[in-house]
Amino acid sequence: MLPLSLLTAAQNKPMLVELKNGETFNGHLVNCDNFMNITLREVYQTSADGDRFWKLKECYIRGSTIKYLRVPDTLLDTVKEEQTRAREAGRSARGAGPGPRGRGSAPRGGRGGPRGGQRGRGRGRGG
Amino acid sequence: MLPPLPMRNSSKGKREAILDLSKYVNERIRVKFTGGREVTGILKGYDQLLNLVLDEVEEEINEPEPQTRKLDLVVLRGPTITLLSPVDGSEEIANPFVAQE
Repeated sequence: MLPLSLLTAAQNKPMLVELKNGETFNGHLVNCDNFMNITLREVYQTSADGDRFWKLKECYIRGSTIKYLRVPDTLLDTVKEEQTRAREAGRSARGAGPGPRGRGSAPRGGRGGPRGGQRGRGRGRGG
Repeated sequence: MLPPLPMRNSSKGKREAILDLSKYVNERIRVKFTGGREVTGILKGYDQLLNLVLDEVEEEINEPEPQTRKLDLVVLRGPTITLLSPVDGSEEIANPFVAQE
């Protein structure tokens, strides 16, 4: 379970972000990148001392200023399921059942690619 | 020839910026910097490093006492920017969390 894969899976989910300076932002994640830069929508901002509040339509936060993010804990199950499914899809696409694992970037490797390739191509009038 | 990189982060091309600044051009935005400075200004230009050109800039100074100072046309350095949000649709409000408790 990688921090950034959890975060990317949290798109459109509500979350709380606290910055190093103590300000917090409650909102729905719109997007994030590998620097942990994020964009939120419908945001409630709270000052560091906790006695001023703002409502923002949207905002962009630089990843390097983030202290932590609180995400819904149901996300953990979603991501785990997704990972198992991706792993299985990758295995069956290679056609090798529980064969040797030593194929380079094995379990996580073949997510998008090989699956689509094998399926649905030219099965029609084979003979 | 480089080996194909594994697609991380779902199917989207994450080389793209996650923030589309074109929608803020000629709109007033609020920008905060590392160190605590804060300005608002009208977005006139930007680049992929998040360097910005703002016009009619006002710096909002909170310490020692709240005040503003006019800066007009300014280039903001992207790497020092920590927070960016449109002024339109943003407002100070009363504590929105007390009702939920």
